[in-house]
Formats: sequence, C-alpha cells, structure tokens
Amino acid sequence: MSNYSTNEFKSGLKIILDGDPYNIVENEFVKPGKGQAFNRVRIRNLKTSRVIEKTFKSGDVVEAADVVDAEMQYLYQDGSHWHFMHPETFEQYQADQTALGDAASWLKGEETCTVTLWNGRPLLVLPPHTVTLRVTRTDPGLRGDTSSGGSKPAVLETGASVRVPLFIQEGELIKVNTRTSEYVARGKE
Amino acid sequence: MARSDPDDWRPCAATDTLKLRADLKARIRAFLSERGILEVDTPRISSSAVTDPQISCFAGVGSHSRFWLIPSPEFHLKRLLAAGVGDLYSFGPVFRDEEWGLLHEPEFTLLEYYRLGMDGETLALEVAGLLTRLIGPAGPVERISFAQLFERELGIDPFVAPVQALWDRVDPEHRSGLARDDRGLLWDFFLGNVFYPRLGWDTIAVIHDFPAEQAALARLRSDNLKVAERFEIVVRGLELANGYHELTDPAEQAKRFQDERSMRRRLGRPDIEPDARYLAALEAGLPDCSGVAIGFDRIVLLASGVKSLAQVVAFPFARA
Repeated sequence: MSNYSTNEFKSGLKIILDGDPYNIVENEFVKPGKGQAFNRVRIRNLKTSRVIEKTFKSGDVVEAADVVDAEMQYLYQDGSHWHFMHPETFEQYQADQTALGDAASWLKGEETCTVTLWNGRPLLVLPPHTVTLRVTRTDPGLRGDTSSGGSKPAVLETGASVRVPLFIQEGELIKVNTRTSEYVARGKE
Repeated sequence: MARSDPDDWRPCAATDTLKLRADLKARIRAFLSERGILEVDTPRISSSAVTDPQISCFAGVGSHSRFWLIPSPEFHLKRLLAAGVGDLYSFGPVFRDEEWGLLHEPEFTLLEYYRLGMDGETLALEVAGLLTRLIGPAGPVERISFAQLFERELGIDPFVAPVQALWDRVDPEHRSGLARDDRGLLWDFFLGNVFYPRLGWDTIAVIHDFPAEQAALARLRSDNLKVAERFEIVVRGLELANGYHELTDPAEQAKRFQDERSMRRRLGRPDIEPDARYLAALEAGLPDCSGVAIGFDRIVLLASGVKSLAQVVAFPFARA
C-alpha cells in the first residue's frame, strides 16, 4: 500500500478517503504567513462522481488509490454487464451500469474505450472521443437544403439521440462527438 | 531537461503587469524616502536559518560551504538597527521551501521596514496609507483583535472556550487531518481558511493582539501577557502584511528560540541552530521599534486584478 503526502498533491492524483477512490480536481495551498499550512482540495468521488471539498494539514499523508487507466476493446453486453478486453494481455473485464454511465449509449462493439480500473475492477468507462453510428430513425429533411444551420432529431442504432443536419437520411452513417453528443460529419463504411 | 510545454520559455506576466510592477516599486521607494527611511541591501544567502517551526528554508551547497537562502531579511535588518543605522528597509527576494500555490511562490519579493519609537498600531496605520496609495481606495481601516474576530465570526472566545467548542464549529467536510485537541491548529485553520477570505472587502482589515503562542518576534503586551503586539493586514481576503512591536529582550528571545526548537522536534522537522549574531545584537541593544513585512507580489496581484501570483512575476518557480 503506498501513500501520498500533501506535498505531492496535484490535480489528477488518485487517493482513497473513507474507503472510496477520489480524483483530485483542484489543490490549493493555504498558509498564514506565521502559521500552519493547509491543503484545501476539491476531489471527485470516482464511484459517485460527486465533487466535495476537504482540508488537510500540509504534511499529512493519505493512501494512494490503485487506479489506472487502460485502453480496452469493447466486446459485448450480456444484459447486466459490458465486457471489455485488454488488447495486449487479452484479459477480460466486466463493467456494470454505474461504471458505464452515458458511455453505454455510444457503444455497439469493437470500440476502443478508456477503462479506469480500481484494484483491477472497472470503475469508469470513457467511450472513444468520436464514434461512427448508423441513423435508424429521422424525419426526411427538406429537399435541396444542404447548407442552412437547421437541424432535426435523429435516433442512432445504439438508441442514442442526437441532432443532425437536415440532409442526413435514415440508414446513413454519421460521426458523433461523444463528449458533447453533437454531430461531427457524415461517416464512412 | 525535458520540456513538455513548447511555450515554457515565455514569461508568465503580461508586459503591462511588469510595467505596473516597476511603477509600484518606484511608488513604494518614494513613500519610504519621503519619511526618511533608508534602503539597505542585506544578504540573500546566510549561514543561519530560522527556528520558526512553520517556515522551512532552502539550503544551498557551495564548493566550500553550506548556506541558507533567507526566508526574510529580519535578522540582518535588526542587526543594523542595533548598530544605530535608524529607520530602514529592505526590498528584495526571499525564499521559502514548501510554499507553492495560487497565492504562494517559493521565491517572492518582500518589503520589510522598521520605524524607531513607533508602536504597532501607528505602524499599521502608516502601512494602510501606503496600501491605499498603491492599490487605490480600499475603504477605511477596520481594527479588530484576534479574539474579537473569533467572537464575531463564531461567537466564542478563542482563548477560554474549550477546544471542543472550536472543533464543533469546523465544517465536518474539513475535519480530516485536523486534530480535535490542538487549539493552535484550529486557530490557524479558522484564520487562514475561514476568516481571512471574508476580510477586507470594503475595508483595510488590521487584525491585532495575536495570541502569545503566536507572538513570533513580537513583544507581549505589558497589560495582557496572553497577547502579543503583532498585527496582520488583510485586503480583499489576502494577507498582505505582518508586523510587530519588536521584542528586544535577549533572554526572552533566547527562550523563544529554544521553544521553537522543541516544537520542531515534536513536529519531526529538522533542528535549526538559533542565529547567534542576532542574539548578540539584542544583547548589545535593539532600540524600541516596530517593523512590518509586506508581500509585494500580492500587492501587484491586487493592483492588476489577476488571479495568481505566478501571473505577476516574469518567471515564477515553475518556469524559473
């Protein structure tokens, strides 16, 4: 078990507090000129995503969280879990709904995702920045209107809903930004 | 050295901020010169460090010697006072290890000046006048004692209330790492984390009469030995200055040095030998005086409206 001193605190560091893994979002050093120094941190609970504030006495030591990010290939979903495979070790991991969060609505298979492992178990799954998916339902656009800023709702093969330009038709492939849920471009086969 | 940021050769301060910095320096020197206060240059490297348990100094190694980077010019300035130089100031860089954040740089510029025969209250008013000249009207001076501040903000007397009462007022989210039975630590917690950010928004806040336990180099009040003639000045939530009606008694000073060494031992910090030349100067006689240390970079920060100390120096520690 390893530890971090508050002197090593910086954003991105993963620590354990009250049994839960946290990511340091912001670390601020507070010290009266003639007094004890403190580290005031904003930390995100990696299980619940809730952000809280904490104050540590500078020099205090906290337990390091064994949290690592790995690129893994999404294989399939079995009803309750999503299965991923590490491309080098071929080891398989199963992640639950909490770990998937919004990622679930962008995955159909074979995408490379960032899986955050805590003690070897998937804690968070981040989908690729952009995915290419087929439009399964959308209203026909207005003929000839290819340049206006107008858009319309569309449902994709994974069930995700996005707004697309009027010229996009059912059955077409489109590229979507998974961070903003926005249409990027027409996709290729 | 590996560089991950291709722009890391550039300064962090805008050119306008550097010009403002130079202008503020000139105005400070004019203010002090009008009052007949002499600028002196004192060493930045020294054979002595400070025993203050809350300050850690950078150690340097030369080919034939070991030395310290000074955390403050205080001892050198008071040796000059004891030698009869009169009102004086030092304006230059000081160095503190382990102090780095939005409002802290390990190297920063400190203005420190001394006035003979002046008490702390008068000096604090003079500093308030200087600050007004530098950062514009900041409101009237608001004097509040350390104890009154706790009374006003928490409704308890920080000296006589049970420690538990202080602990009970700490937001539960912030309790980790604090000790429920350490009064001094809880004082520091409230002052630095809770009270100061609220002070000086339409006033120049002068906090005075600090606990004797935090007297540092200030004399105790003759009419109340529980408090020291020490003050701090806070503007817009920022601690800008720390001043003392200086302790001149060599025996009391020697005892405080030993107390600080014991505290260092308890905290597991490296032992530091007290500065013998400073004690010798006190033996020879330090005239009655008050002194103040002012964080210049924070003044530039307030005058320029930026958010971090790194934006008011050409090359902060991260790019030095």
